[in-house]
Amino acid sequence: MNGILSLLIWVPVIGALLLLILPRDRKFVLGYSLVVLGMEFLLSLIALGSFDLSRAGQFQLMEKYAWIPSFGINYILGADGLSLLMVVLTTLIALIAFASSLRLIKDGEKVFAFFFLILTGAIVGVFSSLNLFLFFVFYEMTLIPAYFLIGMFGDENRYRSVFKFFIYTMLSGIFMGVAIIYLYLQTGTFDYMAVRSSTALMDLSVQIWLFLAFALAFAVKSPLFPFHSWLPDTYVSAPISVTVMLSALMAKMGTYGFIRFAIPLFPQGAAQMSNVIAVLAIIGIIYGGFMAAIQTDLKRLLAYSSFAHMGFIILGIFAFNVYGLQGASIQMINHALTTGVLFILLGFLYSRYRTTSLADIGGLARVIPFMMVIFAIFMLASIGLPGLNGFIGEFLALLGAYNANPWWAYIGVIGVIVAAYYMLPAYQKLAFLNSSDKLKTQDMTLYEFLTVLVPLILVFALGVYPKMALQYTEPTSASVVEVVNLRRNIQPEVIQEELQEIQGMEAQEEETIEQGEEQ
Amino acid sequence: MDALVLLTLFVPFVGFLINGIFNRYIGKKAHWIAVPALGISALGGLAILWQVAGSGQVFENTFWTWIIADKLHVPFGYYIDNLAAIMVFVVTFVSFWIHLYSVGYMAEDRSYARYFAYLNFFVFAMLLLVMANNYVLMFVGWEGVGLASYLLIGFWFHKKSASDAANKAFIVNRIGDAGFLLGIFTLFALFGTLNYTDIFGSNLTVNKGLLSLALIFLFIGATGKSAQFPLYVWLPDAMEGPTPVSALIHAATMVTAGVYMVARSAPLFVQVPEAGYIVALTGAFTAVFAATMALVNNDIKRIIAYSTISQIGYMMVGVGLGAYWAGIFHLYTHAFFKALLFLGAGSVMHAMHDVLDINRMGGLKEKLPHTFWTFLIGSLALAGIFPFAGFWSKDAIIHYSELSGYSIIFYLTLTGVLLTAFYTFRLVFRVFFGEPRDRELYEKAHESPPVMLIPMWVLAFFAVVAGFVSGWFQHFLEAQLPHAHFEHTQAGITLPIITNGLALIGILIAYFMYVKPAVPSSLGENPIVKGIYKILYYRWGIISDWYEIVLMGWLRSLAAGVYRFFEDLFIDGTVVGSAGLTAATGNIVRKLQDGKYSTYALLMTAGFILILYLLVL
Repeated sequence: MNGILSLLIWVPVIGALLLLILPRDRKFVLGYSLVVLGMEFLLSLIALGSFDLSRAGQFQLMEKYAWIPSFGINYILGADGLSLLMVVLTTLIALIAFASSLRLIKDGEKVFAFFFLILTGAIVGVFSSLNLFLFFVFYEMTLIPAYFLIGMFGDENRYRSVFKFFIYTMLSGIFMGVAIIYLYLQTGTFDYMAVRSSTALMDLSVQIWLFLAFALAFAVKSPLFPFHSWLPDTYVSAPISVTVMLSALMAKMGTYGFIRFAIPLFPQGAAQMSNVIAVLAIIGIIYGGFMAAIQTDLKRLLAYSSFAHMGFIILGIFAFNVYGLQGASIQMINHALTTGVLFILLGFLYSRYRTTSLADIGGLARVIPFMMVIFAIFMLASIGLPGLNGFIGEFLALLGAYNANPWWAYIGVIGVIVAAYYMLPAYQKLAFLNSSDKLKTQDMTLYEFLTVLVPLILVFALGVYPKMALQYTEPTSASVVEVVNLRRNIQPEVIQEELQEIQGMEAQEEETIEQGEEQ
Repeated sequence: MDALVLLTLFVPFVGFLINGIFNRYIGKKAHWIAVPALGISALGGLAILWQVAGSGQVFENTFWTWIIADKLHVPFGYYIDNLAAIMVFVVTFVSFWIHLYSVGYMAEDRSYARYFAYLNFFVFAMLLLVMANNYVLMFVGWEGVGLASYLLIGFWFHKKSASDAANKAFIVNRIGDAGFLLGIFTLFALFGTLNYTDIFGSNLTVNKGLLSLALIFLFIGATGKSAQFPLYVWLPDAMEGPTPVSALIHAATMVTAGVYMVARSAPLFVQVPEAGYIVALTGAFTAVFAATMALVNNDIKRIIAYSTISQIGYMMVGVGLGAYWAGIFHLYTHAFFKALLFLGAGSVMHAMHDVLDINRMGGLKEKLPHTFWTFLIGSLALAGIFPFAGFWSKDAIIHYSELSGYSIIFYLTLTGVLLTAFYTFRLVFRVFFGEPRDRELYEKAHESPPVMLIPMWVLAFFAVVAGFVSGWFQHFLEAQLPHAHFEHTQAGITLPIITNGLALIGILIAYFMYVKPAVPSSLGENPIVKGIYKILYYRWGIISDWYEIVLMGWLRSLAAGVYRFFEDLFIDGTVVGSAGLTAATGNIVRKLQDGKYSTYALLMTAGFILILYLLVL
């Protein structure tokens, strides 16, 4: 299935552009967008089906075209197991995020749908680009629709929030842009594979600087403590479906960026900085948890909770062993499913009560018992109850952390306690206390249930049979670990000697790409 | 064996699913699913015990590999040896009678089906914990039990005290669980596997320090689930749940998990007796410490709850000292008499319209004859009076603590005997003897229906006879479990005389205080006595209240302060500094927001081109 990744990127974008000339009728616009997103999801399933799992470590579904030849900018797409899962996740989350919040989209649904579709396409682009320039374009392109979606459809603090969001992510992105240009000047190419095999020769200090430039962008996006201050305000101000996109998908662009770019490109730099980043991740886990514990607004609480949970992913990555990276990979999926759906459920509550403040709603287990059961399941998955999906990721990430440095696990494990410490009292207020007849409303509708059904099934399926996701990411995780372990603590002179070998690998990889093209 | 294990394990789970999903339609018929489910499970448990006892071998099998990453392979499979078989039997058998009793006790409750669904799930999670063939799967059951207790303690969730208690149980347990996780990680670092067979079969002479650390981490997990010092604080509050749930938590499931876990890890603990000593010392201290709080409490359920903490302490002494059979033996006898006492307490509450305060009871002996006699049997067993079940197991533990040479543990366990007898019979005398202190309640009191009394009599029967099998029990467990080597001085007659004497003294003190008051009332005016009374009445202050004071109080205030001053001002300073810029941007955005999508499309394209332009140049 050649060209499917392009389809996945451009179907929503073209769909958005078509929207401009289509009628304005609200029902039509929303229905049309759902169809586009539905097609997008089906396309991703086709991509999943045509993916050869036995070669999950290699890039498949490759596409390569010259784009701006004078600068060596090629349009290269490709997906290994990790990318592919992220793409499928993107289309799934985009579909259900949009479908679940139809009632919440205010006037201007056409504009909303336009930007939402563009955002979806851009995120898919981020997860499938194998050219640094292309990656950067998509990476920055996600910002613009997100900016407008929040700035136009957000709550009353949206200007302040969106400004903060934009400044933070834009500024941090610029560092990465500069680093990419520097890489181009040094290596003469933007192609991921080519750059990857030539960065090993750079001086350690250069590697560290380049790594930091990339890492800053990803640290803001993920976010990593203390680069998170844009997050709570932005998540709270954004309309719910956009909050879902931000927390479930755009945060993963950061962690994906670490795994795909920052670490394999600059393994020595990454190894040098791993202690710092792991410690910041651990601080984030605990700090975010305690900040969540004192929130009275459920949306802000979930925002901090999302931030705290991202810490486990970053910690797992920087453990630099297969446990940690596999934990991080599957946790990226878990986090998207659980946090994403918790926000969606919050949207259902908001559409009923027009508030997410725990001061105003409570005792809902009596009023909307079924929805509270669903909420509880996702909450338990989020706090890592074994048997559900969240446990696998946290367990592997912490196991990886332990193997890297036992102290990371000794401290990081506090996050497991804190998760219950902020979630359960919040759920107690939401579901059990201060029930009031004023809150009487309809329980979860069948439509609402269907929008979260796939994640609900996955929460159980991944918890019981995590292999279905782990097998896709294992080769990628292993190769990242290998490249780091190969490089860490190795002097440049030794690397010089390895040059021969690397070039051999390079040739091999080129071959694979060509093979992919032929297919 | 596969079929038998799956049947025993999953029938309660299916019961949970049916009652849980269709609870609205099933309603008051829920017990027709839940009780037979446990019946089948209990028969399965019996069959497993029968097979294991007959063959003398360990049954193990793996169904599928659950988690794979690098060298880590966590199977979903079972490991049934003599120890697990005994546990399966105790869990399912005692739970069955509690299920049956619940039919009567919960008859009036509007969430009847939900209750039975949770109850089934509780047993399922406990069985998973017991049958698992590796530490991670045990942890699944471990947390599953925690979830079940959360759901059941907070069963009457509209009561704030109930949902508070549920949160407390879960969060405090999570502290222990974090320790368990670290224990798992450390074991994995040591052995490269987490399967029992592989670990116990490998070369165990590894780094002793690291192994001790792993075992201490595991034991931290055990202090959570088994309510040992200092993580015991959730258990007294767990009384907010329906009373049969307390019976379930205290007798068959949950609190015994920690003891089982230590016994399960026996091959590791015998390598580093020092780690076992920490277990035993914690247990001995908890046994006495919890008993002191039971002395002055006036809540019928809480008194029994403190006695559970105390008795689990004894079990920890047993397994900690390496006398695994004795610890498990006490777990087994305790399951019968503690379930009995809670069911008895439930029967009393049933009669007294849910009054818990023993000051409002009294004289119920004639009104509730069945409850009285069974409760008395349970109390005699708890106090360790010959020949009731508790005597055999508790004396075995005390005997080993004497042999171990750690005299502090020995004296603590002896002290516990005196205190236990006193508070147990204080309870019996206050509830069943003397004059009724609340006439109105007394007049309305009525004996419980047969569906509640039958389980009580069955358990009472076992509370009498369960101890007679001690010889067989020791032989059975020690056939497979390693154990510490004591000088096998046969238990003489001296120790039983001492323990029974102490217990009788305790009972007599209670008698002369509450039935035939012979203690001068001026004693109560003595400032020292008053002070001690106050300390005990307030359960040693912050030592028992650290969850509320430190976790829910101080830490929250600290977080709130950090939020206000650090998160908002310092980290967010960028925004404070650029407030003016914000306003300006706001204005621009507002102007751009003219509702014409063409403007937005244009803007977006412009931005996109701008980025490209910036980059290429």
